[in-house]
Amino acid sequence: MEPEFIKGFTQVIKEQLVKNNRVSIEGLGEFRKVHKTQEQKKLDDGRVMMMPPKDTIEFKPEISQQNDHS
Amino acid sequence: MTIHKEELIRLLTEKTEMSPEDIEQQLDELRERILDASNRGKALEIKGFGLFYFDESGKLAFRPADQLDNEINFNYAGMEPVEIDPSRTSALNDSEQDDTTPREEQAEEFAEADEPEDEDDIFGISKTLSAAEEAGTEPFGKLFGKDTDEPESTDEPDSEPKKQDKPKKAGTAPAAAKKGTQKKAAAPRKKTRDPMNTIIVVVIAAVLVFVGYFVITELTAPPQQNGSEMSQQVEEPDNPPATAEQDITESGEPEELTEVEPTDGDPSSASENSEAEKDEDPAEAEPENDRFGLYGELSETDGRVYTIVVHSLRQSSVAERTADELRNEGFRTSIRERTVDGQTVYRVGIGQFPDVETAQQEAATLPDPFKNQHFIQRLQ
Repeated sequence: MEPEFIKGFTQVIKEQLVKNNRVSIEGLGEFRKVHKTQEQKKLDDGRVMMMPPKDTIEFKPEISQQNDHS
Repeated sequence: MTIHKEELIRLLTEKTEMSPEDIEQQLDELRERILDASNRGKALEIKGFGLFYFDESGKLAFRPADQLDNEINFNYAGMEPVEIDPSRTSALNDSEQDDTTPREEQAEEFAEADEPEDEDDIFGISKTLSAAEEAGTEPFGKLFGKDTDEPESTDEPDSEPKKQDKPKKAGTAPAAAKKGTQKKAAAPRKKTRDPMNTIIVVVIAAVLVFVGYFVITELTAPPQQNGSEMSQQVEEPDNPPATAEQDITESGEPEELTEVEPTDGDPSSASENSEAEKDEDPAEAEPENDRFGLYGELSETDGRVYTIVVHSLRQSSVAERTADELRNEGFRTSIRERTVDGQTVYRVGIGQFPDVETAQQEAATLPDPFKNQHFIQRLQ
């Protein structure tokens, strides 16, 4: 793959996710940004922490290993 | 909105100046590379983007790279987990300090134990030699003579290998012999020295270097990473009040809220409180709505109380000004002093809530600057 393509691909996906757009790639799957609100978390040592909110990237695949191997 | 293939190719064409056909070919190639890697039982990593792999269930999975994850999360840069019950943190810090102190002392002890051997070797020999030269006598007469007071120095077989060890420094045979005796004095110490001590010293030194490096990076990291408004307020203490005021006045309701008394020491509010106290206990007299909520005055309550921290500032004066402005907007405002990474910060909180859930619900109703940039903290 061309380095120029890899660079552009990464930038485009990032920009669209920041805009809360989903990006669907045919034959691969769909990228989307999911917001997680702050939450309480109890650590192993018993301390209770308030975890800050964050955005995560979720990927919904279109393909699976079984299908492609068959 | 979902970006589909055509739109994606158009965007990539603009970004890369490659032809749409080339883009489409590259996308196909990307898919092929991922499948090819999976057939070989490997994952495909795109640097700065993430890792494609097949999980245990055989489905294609994606793990974003740290760089992409950070860029997506730029809104929350600098926000770190906050312990709800800070008293435990201080207890832990104390215990950590207690742990480190003996280690340092132990390390010093080892260092001291090593030094005297070298000093004995170096300075003991030179003193003996110079004294012998001045006196013009055989410096090791006692050693090779009739008898010696020190039983250790009579052990000749041990002294011979020592002569070979340091001939350069001594230069003369008697000096070498003397060295042998000096070494002999040090030899028992070496025998008693546990090799584990050396290993422990090395390990402790490595741990101390690592801890030092970690502390330094932790101290220097937050100002570099923070891109949010809260970090700007911390770094530029003169600006925050104006920024905060603008943010609030754009979305808040100033006319309604200006009736709230700005300070706790105001005589009218004091008189109201005193009237209430005359009749019944204040905790019982005030209904639940008056004691908790975003707006109003701070009131003493029993049990746990939580607040929504919207500013974290390094200067108490700036924190006071910011709190006054929020108070003028009608919020129940509180300032709590905390130590974070060895630095004292003043956290300006608004509201007073009986539990975290209520605080979170109220935080969701805050104006835009604070809606996404806040965290819940326990007041008492």
